[in-house]
Amino acid sequence: MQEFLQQLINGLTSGAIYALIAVGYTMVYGILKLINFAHGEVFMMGAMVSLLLAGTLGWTGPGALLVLLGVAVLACAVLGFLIERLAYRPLRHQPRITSLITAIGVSLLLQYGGQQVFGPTDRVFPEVWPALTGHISPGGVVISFIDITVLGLTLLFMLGLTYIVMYTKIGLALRAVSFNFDTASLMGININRVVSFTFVLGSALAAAGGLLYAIKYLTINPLSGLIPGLKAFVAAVLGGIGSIPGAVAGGILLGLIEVLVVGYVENGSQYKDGVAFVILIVILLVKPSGLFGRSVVEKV
Amino acid sequence: MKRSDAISPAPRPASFAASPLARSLLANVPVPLILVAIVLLGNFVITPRAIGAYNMEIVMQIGIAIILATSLQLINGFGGQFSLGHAGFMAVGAYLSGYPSVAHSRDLTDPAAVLLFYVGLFLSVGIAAAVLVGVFKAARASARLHPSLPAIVMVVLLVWILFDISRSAKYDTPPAYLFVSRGVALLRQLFDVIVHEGGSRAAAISAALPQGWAQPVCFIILLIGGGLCAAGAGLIVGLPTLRLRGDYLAIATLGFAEIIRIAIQNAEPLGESFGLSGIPGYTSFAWLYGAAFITIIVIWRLAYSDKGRAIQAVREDEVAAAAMGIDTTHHKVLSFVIGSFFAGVGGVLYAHFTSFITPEPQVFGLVRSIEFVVMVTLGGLASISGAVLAAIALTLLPELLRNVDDLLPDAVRRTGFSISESRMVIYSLLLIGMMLLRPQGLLGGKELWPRRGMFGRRRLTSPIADPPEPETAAL
Repeated sequence: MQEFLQQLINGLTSGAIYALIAVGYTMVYGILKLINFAHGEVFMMGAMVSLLLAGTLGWTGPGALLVLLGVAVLACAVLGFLIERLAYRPLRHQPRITSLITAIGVSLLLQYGGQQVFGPTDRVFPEVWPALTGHISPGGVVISFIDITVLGLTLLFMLGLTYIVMYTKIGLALRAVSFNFDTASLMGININRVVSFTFVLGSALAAAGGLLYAIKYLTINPLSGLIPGLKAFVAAVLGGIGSIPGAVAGGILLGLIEVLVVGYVENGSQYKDGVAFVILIVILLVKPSGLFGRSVVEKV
Repeated sequence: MKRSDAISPAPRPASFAASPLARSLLANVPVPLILVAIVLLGNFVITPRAIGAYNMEIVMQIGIAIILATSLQLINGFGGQFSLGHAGFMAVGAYLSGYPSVAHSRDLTDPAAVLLFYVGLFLSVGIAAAVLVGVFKAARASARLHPSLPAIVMVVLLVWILFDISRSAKYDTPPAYLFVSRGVALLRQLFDVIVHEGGSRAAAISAALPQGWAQPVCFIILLIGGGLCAAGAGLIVGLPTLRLRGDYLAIATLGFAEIIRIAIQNAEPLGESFGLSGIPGYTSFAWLYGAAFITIIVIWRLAYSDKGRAIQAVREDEVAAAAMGIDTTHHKVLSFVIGSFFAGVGGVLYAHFTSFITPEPQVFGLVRSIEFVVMVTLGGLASISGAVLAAIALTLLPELLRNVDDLLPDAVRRTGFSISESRMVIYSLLLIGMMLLRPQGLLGGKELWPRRGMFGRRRLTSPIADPPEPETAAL
């Protein structure tokens, strides 16, 4: 039982990181019906930027963490904005396959360009807040402070996101555009602004996810955004792509299932990366609209 | 004018030269003859001794790229289905021909044993697949009792399978109640019986073949068998995922390809991460380019035929095609399966060329799949000659980049920057640039041959020649 609870905590934390990235995928898809393949790379950039900054500045303490967070969020927001502006907006009226291929191109560019700029080797995240290395053990279950930070920050970000989406004007515009693109533009909503805002918001969350990933797993290289990015996409599909609560639920569920497979299936750790894809196939077979999604009837 | 004039048949031609038979021969014979000549001549002219082993390897890589790019063109370009998993099918073909080649063929002299391997494989996998399909159909039928029953049944089954697999790891022969692994064990026994009991008799049959025939026959069996295995994988991948839309399909195919690669990496008889070595290096220029030309011809004939028109119709507008009476699922699966068949053939040729295959990502993973996608897109979707040209160009690109590297000024070279290492960056810039500036690709969806097709039939211009008008909602 104790081991099970331990696995639960592990699953929750990795699931939280998936959730942060998945939200970005789901928001962009909800508005543009485009899978932003480059989103995983934005996540990686967030981790890279915070890693490099932590390395050069060498500050420590909770303040340093907040500064890193702020810088990473800012950097990724700009990156996300630029990607949308340069690669996706010119193709908004082209057939979907063009944007898909471009998204793949951007993803490759960031991965291998990052390899050229940052070097292909793994980099280690320096210790930023020494107090974080501790842990508490209620009832024998080890909960490290890092886990608490991850969960806490994720919760904070999710609350912030909910506030923005539900209680602000731009959030209302966002929901309107995701409901019906053309009618929203007819209602006087500045589509370009809303789309840019969506990308910025999604990228900010991905940046936070990147920082948390770097803190938790400690090694980053320019190609390490690919797999978590794909898994986050699967999480978004699992929860129902286009639905923000779905993305969160999907992320956490995926994290939990992964950890349970590793823990309880023989040789599970070798199949860990395959779990997400198997879940994807199963969901697409059984309920393609996802757990929280609504199945849209295609009108002819 | 008498009525009989209008309805009388065309007069018989005066000479043979103007007859339909002559026209048909003239249209259909020269090109295949030329291709056969190229293949045979090339086999004797383009040898490692003549052009060097390194250049020979490049020539062979070009051939393999041509096969894979053309087969992907059928799926992506003509079928309009965005498949990101093509390298996975290549892997299936490579491994499921490399393994029998190493384990059963005794240096390709035992075609009967190889045949038995494939028979055993298809039988056992076929039975398993039939059972799964039956279960799936039964689960779907249970929807009549309650709409959410299928989902529940599938989830329960999945959980049971996981439990079953983890429990049965403790036993050599799983007990009867763990029916999933018991069934798998039974199928394994069936396979063993066919391959090993039959194998002893196979050697005698193979020895009875005329001298010198054993190896080519064995290789052909490997090519077809490997291709069929890949086609089977294409069927398994295609059937569930083909009702998904473009973006989902891309990820689903990507996922399947990764699952295939991970499965290979964990399969002990396939060498796990160490790879499969000792595969006889039987692929020669003649075999490779012969196969390449056959691939091009088959896909050309398919794409510019009635079936090809149906496939393209499904790509253009599925609902309209269905309204026209075209079975959309059948045609989508058809293009997928045939595309993966040839990918498998390419994999077989690849495995028997480099006698050592490993499940590494650069060869069989996402990066390779994307390379093929770049080839297809660069050449222009729905253009076979475009895919061939792009395959040649993109296989030669790294070599060119290496030469450019040597031309770089010393100052740049000292910084450690090398163009050839930025190959993937250049690919990605190429991809983005193409989509932004010329999404229809180099040839714009048309073929090199202007209007008449290769075999004298009239062909349509591809609809992707010009980008379509923006999708405006009817408000």
